[in-house]
Amino acid sequence: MKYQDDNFYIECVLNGDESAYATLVAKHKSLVFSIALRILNNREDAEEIAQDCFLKAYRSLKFFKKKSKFSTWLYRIAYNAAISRTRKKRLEFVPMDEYVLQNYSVNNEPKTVIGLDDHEQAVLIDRALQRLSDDENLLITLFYKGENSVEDISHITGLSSSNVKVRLHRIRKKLYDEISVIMQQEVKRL
Amino acid sequence: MEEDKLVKDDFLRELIQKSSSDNPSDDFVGKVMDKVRQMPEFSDARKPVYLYLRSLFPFILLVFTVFLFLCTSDLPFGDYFFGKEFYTKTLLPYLTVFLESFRALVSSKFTSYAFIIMIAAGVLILIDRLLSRGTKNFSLSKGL
Repeated sequence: MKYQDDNFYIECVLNGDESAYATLVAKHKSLVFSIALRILNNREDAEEIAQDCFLKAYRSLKFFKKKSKFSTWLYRIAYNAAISRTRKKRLEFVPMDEYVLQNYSVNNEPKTVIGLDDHEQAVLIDRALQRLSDDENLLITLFYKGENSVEDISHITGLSSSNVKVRLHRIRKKLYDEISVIMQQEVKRL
Repeated sequence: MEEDKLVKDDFLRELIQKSSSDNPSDDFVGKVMDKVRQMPEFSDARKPVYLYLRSLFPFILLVFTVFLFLCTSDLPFGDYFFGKEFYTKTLLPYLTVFLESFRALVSSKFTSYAFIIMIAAGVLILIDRLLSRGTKNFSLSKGL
């Protein structure tokens, strides 16, 4: 069955069909779990927080005003719950000049990566992602994997939009650097 | 979405989509839905109105009893709230008739005992409900 819009399932739940919530859980569980895992670094704790997050969202569903996307609202709940659990500091503001941002060069995609097959690319990106910090992983997961906009990430994390951009810019550059380093290491090994 | 262009990178997006996903346990959805079905808030949310009124009944009864007690006591409660003339000429006769009928009910030993037993049973049920509600909330908060 084709997946309808999130709002369709929300309406079903609000009209008393609680089983419609299972569809929403199934759709968003991976990213909610990823957010919690990036912050908590422990699968059991992340699973517990992810479950709590879905319960909290269910309880508050009637207050969800649909001003933002359901996913943004849900991820914000997950982010806050995970941060509260660790008492970790929230993502911090990174000052950066707008000029620098506009002219911040990022290497183009390494051509050698394109020559790899899907499995090899998956292994490569997994290794590169492991070299990033948890915060960097969180942002990159939200943007490139969760396909959230800069504005959405700003709502989720409480950072300003320009700060999210700055961070994503830096992480993107770092990720390409890491990919290049891994590729060079592989070439040397061969 | 103009600003997203600065960080937009389809190549990286595709590459990251290929990375192994972090997935919770296989029965994650089932676990969440089990907990959802146990949530008291949602069984309450679909309660018909008469059930809400029924749950309010003990409090309404309590307020009415206190009101009756204050109105018929020597305290100037009735005068203060309803005005002396309205209270003594209109309200008090009705209250007196009500209390007289009640007095007639408890005048015999049999009805008095029946009343005492009913009130005691009512109080016990109320305590039981309050305690079981507290225990339920406690176990939910502990994730049991």
